[in-house]
Amino acid sequence: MRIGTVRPVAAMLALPGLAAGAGWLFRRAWAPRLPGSVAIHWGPEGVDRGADLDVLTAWTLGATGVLAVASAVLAIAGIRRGYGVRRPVVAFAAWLATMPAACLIASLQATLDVPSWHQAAGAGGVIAIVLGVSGAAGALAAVVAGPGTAPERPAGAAPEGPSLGLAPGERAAWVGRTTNVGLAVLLALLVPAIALATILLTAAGPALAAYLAIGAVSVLVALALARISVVVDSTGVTIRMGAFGLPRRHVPLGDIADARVEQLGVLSGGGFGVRVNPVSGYTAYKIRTGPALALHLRSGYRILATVDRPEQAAGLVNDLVRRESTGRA
Amino acid sequence: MLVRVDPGSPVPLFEQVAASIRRALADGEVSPGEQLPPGRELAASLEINVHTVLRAYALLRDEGLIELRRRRGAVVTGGADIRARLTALAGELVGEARRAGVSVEELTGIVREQYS
Repeated sequence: MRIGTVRPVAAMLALPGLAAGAGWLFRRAWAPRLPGSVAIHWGPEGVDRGADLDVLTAWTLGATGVLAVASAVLAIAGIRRGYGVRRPVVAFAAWLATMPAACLIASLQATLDVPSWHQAAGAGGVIAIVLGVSGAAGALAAVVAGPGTAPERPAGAAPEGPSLGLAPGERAAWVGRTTNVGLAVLLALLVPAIALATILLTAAGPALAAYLAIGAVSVLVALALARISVVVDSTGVTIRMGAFGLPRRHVPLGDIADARVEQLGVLSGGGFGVRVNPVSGYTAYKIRTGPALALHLRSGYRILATVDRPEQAAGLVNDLVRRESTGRA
Repeated sequence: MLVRVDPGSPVPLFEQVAASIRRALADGEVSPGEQLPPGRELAASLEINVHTVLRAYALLRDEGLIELRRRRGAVVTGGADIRARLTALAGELVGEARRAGVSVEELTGIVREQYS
């Protein structure tokens, strides 16, 4: 088994395992100070449900074990099939698997030194322990996992996307943009309109200051989403968003494997704006539907930007990538 | 908008830049009222001198395709697409006439005849 497999899988097994072990140790150490049943659920009026301590221990530690083993098996299968396993996935799996064990520790702590679960402590400490323990496990898993394992990809494969037929020695730059005034106006007006409707209908809506703040934020968001501009040149691809040019993303040419044109629908990437999916490695700068420049990176990640006439941009990116890879070879 | 320059070509760089922009205007890739990229940025992307790009912009301004404004930079004028197409066609016409040894007077005569 390669080193790139060992570290993510070890992180997925070890951190939930440590949390489960800690849960079991707390259960043993605190046994004389705990009632037979512990608090497991808190509602608006405080604790409202308890469960038998032995049953809860078995279920939570069992769930952590099953989740840890299942995620490790899936990770090994993914790496074997060449999909790779990314660091955020490892962190998420460890966080999720640790959650039941963290819940057990929190329940034990809340019910410590009380005669019955009805007198258990409030939900604040419980939430802190659950999020703290599981979050720490996720963060440590990300450290242990290292950079993760990238999907397998033939090294230095020439891009297969469109070409412009750039001659040797010829220099070229592509400048493009897209503006969506409709989306900007909608954003700038819709949110303040809802706030205004709230004021009029309930007569107890937000105060004037809050209303102005809502209006200012929606105008800023609208300006940020009104425009995307893309520059392709020999250094790479630079994507800038909005009237302020932020967020800005520069993708060096050496990171790009291939460029294509993809069509985005209303729901592609889950909506509009900067759409990031750390699990699949997908980032889309999207302010409209329709054709977008899609960059496939050597790391397996994909970056998309909705920009007008992306065919030329994709062609130029592929020509520049081809030139750079032959220049190095 | 794609701008291509070939330093190995006998055509001056500023004319190559202007020709690329003219083609983009003729194809409607940049519409009237839109801004061209700042000269400094385009020069950096093409690894050429900023004055070369500004000279190309000045040429396009003289052809009536763009306006150079102090604050907003180079802005595409209304009807620039048609003018750009005419300028490109006239360039071809003049090139053809030169190759055929036809003088300016003769060529304008031919154009006049076509108009009447």
